[in-house]
Amino acid sequence: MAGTVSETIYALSFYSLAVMCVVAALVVISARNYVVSALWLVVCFVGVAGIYVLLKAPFLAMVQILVYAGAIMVLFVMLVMLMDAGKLEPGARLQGVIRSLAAVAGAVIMLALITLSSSMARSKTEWSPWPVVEPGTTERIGADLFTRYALPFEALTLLLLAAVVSALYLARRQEGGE
Amino acid sequence: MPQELISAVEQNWIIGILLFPFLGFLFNGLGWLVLRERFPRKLSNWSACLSIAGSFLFTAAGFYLLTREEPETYYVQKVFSWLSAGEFKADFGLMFDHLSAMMCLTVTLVGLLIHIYATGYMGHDQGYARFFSYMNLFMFMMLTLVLADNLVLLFVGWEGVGLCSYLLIGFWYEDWDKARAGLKAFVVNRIGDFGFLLGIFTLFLYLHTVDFISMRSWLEVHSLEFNHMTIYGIKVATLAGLFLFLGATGKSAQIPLYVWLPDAMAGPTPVSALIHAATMVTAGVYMIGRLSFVYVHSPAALAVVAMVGAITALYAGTIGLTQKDIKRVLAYSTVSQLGYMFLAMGSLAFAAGIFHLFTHAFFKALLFLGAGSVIVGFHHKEQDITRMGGLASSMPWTHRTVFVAFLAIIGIPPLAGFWSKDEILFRSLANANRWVSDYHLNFLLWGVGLAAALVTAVYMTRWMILTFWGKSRADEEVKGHLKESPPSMLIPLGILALGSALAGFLGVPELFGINNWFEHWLEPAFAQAPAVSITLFGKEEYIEVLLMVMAITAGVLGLLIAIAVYINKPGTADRLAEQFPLLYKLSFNKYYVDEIYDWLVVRPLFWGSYYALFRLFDVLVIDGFLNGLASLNAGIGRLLRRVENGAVSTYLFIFVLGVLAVLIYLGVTRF
Amino acid sequence: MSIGVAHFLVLASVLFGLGLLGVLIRRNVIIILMSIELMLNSANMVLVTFSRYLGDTTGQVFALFVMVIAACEVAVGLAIILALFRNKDTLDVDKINIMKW
Repeated sequence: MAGTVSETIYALSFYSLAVMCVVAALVVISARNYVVSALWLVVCFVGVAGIYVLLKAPFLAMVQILVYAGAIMVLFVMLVMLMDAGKLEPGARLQGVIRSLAAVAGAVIMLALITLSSSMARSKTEWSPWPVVEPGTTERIGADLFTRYALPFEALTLLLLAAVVSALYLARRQEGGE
Repeated sequence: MPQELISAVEQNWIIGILLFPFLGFLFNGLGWLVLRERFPRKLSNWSACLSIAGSFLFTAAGFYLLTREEPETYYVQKVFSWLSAGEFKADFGLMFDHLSAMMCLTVTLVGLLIHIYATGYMGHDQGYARFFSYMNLFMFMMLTLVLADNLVLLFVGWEGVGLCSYLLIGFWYEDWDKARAGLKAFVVNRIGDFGFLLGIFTLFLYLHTVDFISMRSWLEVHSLEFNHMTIYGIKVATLAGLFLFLGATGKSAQIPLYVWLPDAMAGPTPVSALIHAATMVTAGVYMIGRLSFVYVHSPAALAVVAMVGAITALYAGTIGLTQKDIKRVLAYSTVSQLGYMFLAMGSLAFAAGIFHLFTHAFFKALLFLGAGSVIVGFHHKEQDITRMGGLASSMPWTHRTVFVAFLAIIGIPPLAGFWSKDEILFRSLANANRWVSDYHLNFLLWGVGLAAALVTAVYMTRWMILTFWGKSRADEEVKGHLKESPPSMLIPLGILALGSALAGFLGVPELFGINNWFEHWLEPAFAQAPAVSITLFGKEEYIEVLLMVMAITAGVLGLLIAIAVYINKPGTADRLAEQFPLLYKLSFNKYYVDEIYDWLVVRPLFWGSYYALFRLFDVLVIDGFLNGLASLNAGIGRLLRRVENGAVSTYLFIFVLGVLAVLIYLGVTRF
Repeated sequence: MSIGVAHFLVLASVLFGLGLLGVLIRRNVIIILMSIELMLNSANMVLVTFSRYLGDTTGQVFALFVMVIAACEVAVGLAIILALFRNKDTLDVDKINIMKW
């Protein structure tokens, strides 16, 4: 009995979060005003964070909000304000043959992926019900991060350094770098 | 173990004969390169002459040692292993047998005398060190040729002397004509060398060795087998013999490749004496002697050798009759005398040929050095004998010594030239070459040889008359400066005169009761020739005496004719020239052979190379192909560039297409 | 029907596809960059899904890594866009074609 109730709550949460994400994504790609796009992207990210919670990855959900919604989107918005072009793109209409073809190809890819993913639902033998797992808590992630994956971790710090330096250089005021 | 290998005695001093001239070459060469004009002339002179003297001493000592051994014994020295590839083996090996000892002796003795002479002759020349380094290098190469124990090393020496010939003929290279003469010598020689190489290849192909000793022992065992080996119907022995002889016609200036020798007189006179009289040009004769055991299997090839030799002897003599340059007459004389040597070799009289080589070295060198003395007397300003004369009084010693050589060359007994020439004439008639005697060609050969002796006497007497006798026809101012040459030049002349006079006694024929030492000495080195006897009234001696008398008669007759034409009635020569203009023109213009070669060979080759090969093939085809390739590249590049249109959307589109392709592939293969 | 792996995967596919379309269709370079972020997120979602299913935190750790990289990429990308904007005074991707042949 408890199983079905939690299952239903689970399903409900999933679907609402899913709708939130998809709708937000749609607005992002179709809005004429890029500020609007930026804000709706935040919404999408929050939705994704919720999905992570559903997937028993609380730590990641928090990091998602902190980093994506918090830092990255703030960066976006800040830049957008900086580059107040004043000119808005005249509609997201498909311009040119290439674009149309590209859109078609993209749609095809999307459909292919969806088909692929949903086909997994039909194969009953492969995918058994969710096993019982520990949630991805801070301790567990931390344990892995600093032992098994210490090397990529260190490498990423270098990447961060490089990114900081290049961003600084590229965006400097006089003769902006190339 | 074959007999030959038992007779070989290993020595370690033979290399000394080669080492001295080589060191002399290096010393003079490097000294000149480093010090230039500061390299002392005396040092150059002495070092060059001493190195040859060292060579001569080693040779003489070795020769003496050899006389104390058994006749079959010879000395060998393997200096180092040079080429070795499977069956093919050619070492830097030296062989001091009776033949090469004789040759070395000739080369080093005459070479030494000429080097001493050259110190006087080149006394005022600026390039003295260069000259002596080349001369020493030449000696080294010539001795390598003579001492080589295999064909490949011999060929190294062969090429080497050709190189030195080129360097020394064109010694005064600033004069383009002189340089061109050197070039001509080298190029014509090269044609012969091609033949020589083909000969080496042929022999190696069938004998599987290039080493003389191995060849000889194999041939003595498999003589019959070798006799029957043929290529497309031609005997291997004949083919190899002819190929090698082609090389000999180049190096030893016979028809058809003699054309370089008269032009080679552009070099300094010591060069003409050493290289083009006494040593290098005899290399071809030596080669045939060395390979006698191959040649005996091909009487046909030897017949060709004999005929070419005889014809060349007469032919060259007829050209010498009208030449005006003092050295050019001698050049044609050399060609002619070499013809005699080949006549002997072709008649299987190998020892006789080498004997004439030996005596000829003395009197021809003497003649050339004498001519050089005359040239120096005229301060290098005059070489036309029609403007000379009367030098018997102004240059007495030169005249006296040259006179001895003159008597030798026209065959007056008891001087050297008589003995050797007579031997050749006798052997050409009593011909051991089956091929020749079967067709009775021996009479022809002998007749041509005798005629050549007559012509030799005529042109040499003419030469003597115009140069030394009678009244001087030179300009007054030049006449005043004529004086005798310095002792450095006269002493060698004197020694050579002694040689010309006495050397002949080494090879006196049996009939006089004295042992023919020369022939016996060389016997072990050559293949056995069948014994031939001709008789007159049943006695062999009568024929020999008769022939001797005829040879002397020819010589004396020629002398008298020349005296009649040039002394008794002056102007006769010019009148004869007017009466027989065609003959005179042919003789004077060397039968237009140079012109014929030019039109037949040189020009077509040049035009072919320039127009066909260069313009057509090189420029059009090769350059066209390469340039075309480049422009093809550029064209394709131009086309492909269009992909880069700078628009991001296009790039993204291609990107997406790629992803799609991968997905399709995966989809198709997995599901 | 209970929510299974497929559901999450389908969601991720949809988000990916939308992001892809955004990249291909839009001319505004900022929106293109945002669409790229969308695609990255969908990839992250797949990673986390399988991490949940297999019980291995490796998936989540890698999702973390992806986030770091995304952050770097956004920083540098925006810096480039800023510089580009200063030079060409436009955010229209079609107008930036100086790398033409």
